[in-house]
Amino acid sequence: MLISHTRPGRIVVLFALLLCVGCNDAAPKPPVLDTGAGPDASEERASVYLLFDPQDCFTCEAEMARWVAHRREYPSRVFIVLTRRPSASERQAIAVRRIPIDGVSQDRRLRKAERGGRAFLFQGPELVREGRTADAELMTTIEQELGR
Amino acid sequence: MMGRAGGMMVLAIFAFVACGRGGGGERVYLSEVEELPPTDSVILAETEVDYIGSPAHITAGPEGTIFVSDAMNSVVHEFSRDGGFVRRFGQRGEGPGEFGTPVATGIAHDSLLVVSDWRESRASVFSLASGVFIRSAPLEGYAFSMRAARGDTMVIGVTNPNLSTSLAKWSTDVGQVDYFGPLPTEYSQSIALLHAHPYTTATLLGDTILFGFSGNPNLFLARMDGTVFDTIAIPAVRRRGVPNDIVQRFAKDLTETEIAGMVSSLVALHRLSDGRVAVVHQDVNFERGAMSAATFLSFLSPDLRRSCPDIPLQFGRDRRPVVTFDGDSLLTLETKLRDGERAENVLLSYDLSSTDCRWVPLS
Repeated sequence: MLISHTRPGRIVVLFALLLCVGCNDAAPKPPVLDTGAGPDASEERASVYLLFDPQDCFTCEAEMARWVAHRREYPSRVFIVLTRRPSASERQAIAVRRIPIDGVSQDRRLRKAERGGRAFLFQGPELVREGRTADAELMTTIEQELGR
Repeated sequence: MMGRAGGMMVLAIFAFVACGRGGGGERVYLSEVEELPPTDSVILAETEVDYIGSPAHITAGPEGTIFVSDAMNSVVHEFSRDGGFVRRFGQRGEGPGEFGTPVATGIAHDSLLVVSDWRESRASVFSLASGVFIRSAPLEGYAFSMRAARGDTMVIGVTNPNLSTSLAKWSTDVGQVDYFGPLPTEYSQSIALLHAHPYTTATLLGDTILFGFSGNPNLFLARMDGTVFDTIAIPAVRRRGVPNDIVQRFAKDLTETEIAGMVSSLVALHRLSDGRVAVVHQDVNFERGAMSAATFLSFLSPDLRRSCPDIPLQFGRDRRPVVTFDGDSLLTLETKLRDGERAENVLLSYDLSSTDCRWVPLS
């Protein structure tokens, strides 16, 4: 065990823990994907990430078609991302719907307990908006940004 | 359009027919085959833009084309019988001629495409000649099957939980939809069952409506006003059937997998040219978003007193197939994953002309 039993040592450990929690509360950055997919370094316009749990593929399919269409139109700016590696049956469910997956991100700051996809709009490294994919207003904002 | 696989199927069919007709060998009856072989197989020509995301229903049109409602992309695709893409109807939206979640499709008067929209709670009519949207009418409930009655009146299998009705009549030249027909008593005993397996499938036998439900084992015969005068129970020989204690089972908390795996769902009914009635059930397996299904074809004799039950069709391993009829053929649309990744939709045809069967008297 590396935890110090001296009083100054405990204070140092506590301070380090607080720092660590502070790190987790920092504004999310565009997720780093296991595939390396992401906006080109020269891309200055907004980028959009859709994150969803592979198990939600069946329930969010009506919304997914819009995302697939946006990704086709803006391949360097729209990314469809899973929050974890899918099981065999989940891979099957994704494949039959022809949903292209750009990668997996396990960044906890981008995950929410709620069911359904979550969208993140970034301007460079800065998070501008986030919300549920079912949020029509968010979707409108995202489509306006993509159209710029 | 048959490739090498299609050629193999022809060989398989010859072998099947040879077995069935004897020639010194033992006669093989339809109800005893391991799997009924399709007579044709066509891969639909989809593109990156015009692809079927989630097929909900298919219908054969008067010119031989196939209409596929796509619940994911909110359109209805039309394909030629050799698999070529023809056109699409509608687009995502809430306006006239647009779809939220298109489900059941039907043809009225040989000239109109009728589409039920679950999310928008309405049915819309398009001209087959021009592809143009004509009109829509409010349609409340779970609409699953549509059959043209006289002229352009549609009889729609639509379970309406609010009115406790199972059918609707819609004269497509006016906006009025009339709901009628009873629901099975089990649905009034279990609201969970009603919403888990709500679909009504209906067809017309002259002036009689034959209909049944995805969560009930029986078929019902009704007059055009919805008065039921007879009930038919096709024995479940190789499929799951519907458990007698289904209401008690639905009193407990069930997972999606348990709900889907509890029953054989009725999915299609059709009268053939020789008077037999073809009946299609599916045993669905649902696991983490992936839905596969075993499909079973049964026949009722023209007098509806005997059945030839549970002839297995090709297993829908990668997705639950959707089915329809075209004359004396059964058509199934199946999504298959090539190399486990690349999806393609295949239209299979089954010739239903053979009557070789060990017919079972119905009680």
